[in-house]
Amino acid sequence: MLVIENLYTCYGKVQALKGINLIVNKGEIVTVLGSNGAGKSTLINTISGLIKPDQGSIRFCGEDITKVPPHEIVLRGILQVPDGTAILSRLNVRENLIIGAYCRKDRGSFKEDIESVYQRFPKLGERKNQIAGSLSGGEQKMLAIGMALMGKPRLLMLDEPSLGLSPLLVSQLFRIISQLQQEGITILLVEQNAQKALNYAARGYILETGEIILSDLASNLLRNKKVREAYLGEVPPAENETRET
Amino acid sequence: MIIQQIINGIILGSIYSLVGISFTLLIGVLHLLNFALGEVMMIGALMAWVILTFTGLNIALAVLIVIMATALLGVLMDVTAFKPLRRKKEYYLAPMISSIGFSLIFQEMANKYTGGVPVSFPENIVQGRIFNIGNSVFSSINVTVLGIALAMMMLLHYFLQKTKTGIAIRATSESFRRSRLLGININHIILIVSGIASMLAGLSGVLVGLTYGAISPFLGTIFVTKGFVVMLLGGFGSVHGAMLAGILLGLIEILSTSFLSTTYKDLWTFVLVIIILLFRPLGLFGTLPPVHRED
Amino acid sequence: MSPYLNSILTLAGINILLAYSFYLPRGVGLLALGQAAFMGIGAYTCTILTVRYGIGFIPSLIAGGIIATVVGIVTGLAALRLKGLYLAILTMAFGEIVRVIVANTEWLGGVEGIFAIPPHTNLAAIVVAIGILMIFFQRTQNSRPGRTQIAIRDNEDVAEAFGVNIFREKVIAYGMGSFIAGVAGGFYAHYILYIEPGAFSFERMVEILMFCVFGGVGVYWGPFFGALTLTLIPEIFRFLSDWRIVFYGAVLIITMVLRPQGVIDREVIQKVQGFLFKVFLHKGRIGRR
Repeated sequence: MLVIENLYTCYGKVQALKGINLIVNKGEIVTVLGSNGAGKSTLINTISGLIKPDQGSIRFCGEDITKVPPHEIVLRGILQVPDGTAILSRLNVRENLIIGAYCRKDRGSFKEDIESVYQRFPKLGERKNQIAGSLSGGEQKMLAIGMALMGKPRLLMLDEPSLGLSPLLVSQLFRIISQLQQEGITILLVEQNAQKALNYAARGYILETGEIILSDLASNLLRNKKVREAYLGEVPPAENETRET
Repeated sequence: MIIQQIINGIILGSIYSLVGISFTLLIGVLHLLNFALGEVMMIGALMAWVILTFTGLNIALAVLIVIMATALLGVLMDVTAFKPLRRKKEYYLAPMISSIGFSLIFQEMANKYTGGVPVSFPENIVQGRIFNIGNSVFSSINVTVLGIALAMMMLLHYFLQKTKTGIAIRATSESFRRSRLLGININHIILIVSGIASMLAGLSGVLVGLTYGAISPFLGTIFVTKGFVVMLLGGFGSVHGAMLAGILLGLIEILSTSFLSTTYKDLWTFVLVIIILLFRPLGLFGTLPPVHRED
Repeated sequence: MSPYLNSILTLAGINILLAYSFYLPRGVGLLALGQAAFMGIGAYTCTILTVRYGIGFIPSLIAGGIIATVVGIVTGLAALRLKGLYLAILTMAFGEIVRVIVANTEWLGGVEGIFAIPPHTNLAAIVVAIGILMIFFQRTQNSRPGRTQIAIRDNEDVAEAFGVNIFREKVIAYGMGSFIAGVAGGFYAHYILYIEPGAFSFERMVEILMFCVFGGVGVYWGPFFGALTLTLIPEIFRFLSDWRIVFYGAVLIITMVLRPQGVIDREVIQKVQGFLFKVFLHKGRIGRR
């Protein structure tokens, strides 16, 4: 569905992405892992059209979207849930959901869609008219996802969704992500929480200082020594110790 | 007697509200302080005068033409002078200077056209009738002006709260970047907001002309200050704040003139504004003045 | 020198001083929008001393500057802890407050102001004042105080982490700016020979802002160039008669589109220096051999 070839992007004066090759197939959850500054956000924002790459191409369902402006990327069904404050804090919950559907041409199922968001996230339903800025961190994340769902995404990109959430909420979040995939939404998940991400994703890419250094099935990555040491918190053995298998 | 003054204050205040809204819209959504809006107001008034004096068109058509022309003017100003600066870090101060450039040009050209003297609106634009509420007297002009102003404010409220584009405008005022990610075409929004702000200024100019029966090419300078005070009082970027603050300012001015000395009218207005700001430093609907980040 | 030229250059000189009164606080990152008020304070102080108490011009001038500085420091102590736009609004409000107070004080001439001020201002004195300032800028820009100011302007937190007393530096810069504005006010009063509160209104502040934004606030030549050019343009283009104001407006708009950072910035200075170097040293073959 999404094919990125040889992508080079600058962020300010730094070459943030160097020769990225990445594929997301329809219906999959693909995750991109990496530490801070690796270029994960730059990657997502380049796909979203907020940053223009210097080289390479991005194709979506066969169409070259490399030079398409951001609002039109959204019109093609690629929606991003950004990191940080992803909601519009001055609008209320309902208005946020309404604006989430801004990109849709069809007015048809609008009311049902809002209802289904309230069903999926009952807390949002309780706070329909509350100003979004007054919601808790977890509720704001739910609202952000709800906004994206209102846009009927074909490809949903999530930029570090677990950041700042308690472990309980993180588990909830990933269950929801899994649900969405089962409902047919393709997901590109950029994460720091490698353990969770690899548990739910089909395939993963490891990004380090702008380059993809590993690309494999998630199950393989979970077993990969380098991944375990760098991203899953495993402690490497000291030199004069033998390694237990 | 006091009823008369209160209603006069509301009528004047409603005009101030419209001016204030135009300033606060630009600052809230586009992070722009456009000094030229005062001159746009004057141009609107002048245009209406020309139409009413030299053509046989009625007031409704005149208002319509002024609205469209001033909206276009607003878009033109943005496209030529502000848009090229938008992505640069000098977007902080440079557009202010450009707006001064525009106001100089507009004022000079109006000055040349009128020869520097005030011009009087023709009589009987609106069917002359007198209304009475108790001991107060109002002309049909008063009623028309108030009607138009209030109608415009209600329209604006509905537009910003209930329509898709209106909510998109409010989203844009919060974050360009987040709005882009929602599929909002920022360039369209900018054009729409520029047009609306200038249109409101132009309309208030017409209303001033109708209310006072005469306008001078220097009308703009006076109202820039009023607009700024209303924006400050209401809270930067708050349209509802500007609506309220404008009416408040009108009331303060009229009431202080009639019950306190006329010579010190401005002083009392000034003092009251300072007092309000001491209690609500961010304005009635307090919001921080926006810092422009191209995000 | 013709009286006309003398007159125009004097006005330009006053404007240059005013531009510097904004430039100095800007150098530490402050948006001081009340400088017109300090100009007024200096103008009224100087005028009252010369006209009503018969004190000499230069002492009165300096007294005007000092009073302005005192007021500046006092208000600065209260206001300078605020950031950016809040400070801008507060200084703006302060400017208006001063104007309204003066307009309502009979002893200061009220709304009508003070007439018949003796013409003490001469071009030489102004040139000396500007000269002193520019030498000061040239000296400090590469020295510790100058670099400190740039550090504060660019990133306060980092500067503070390096042990800079931010607040003290800001008050000093603000005080100096007020002094310059006060002195400029004294010059102005004895040039125009008549002062009234409206001359020190926010319109004046906008003018000062124009000089700085147009000329550039990155280097000390910026305000100089901005004030000089914008004062001279209406005069030079007098032949355009009615159209010269339209022309002036167009110049502002076009300049901002083409050079929003101001006409003069570090790059321009370096290019000019390079050019002068080539022209004057190339003859003697000094340098690149």
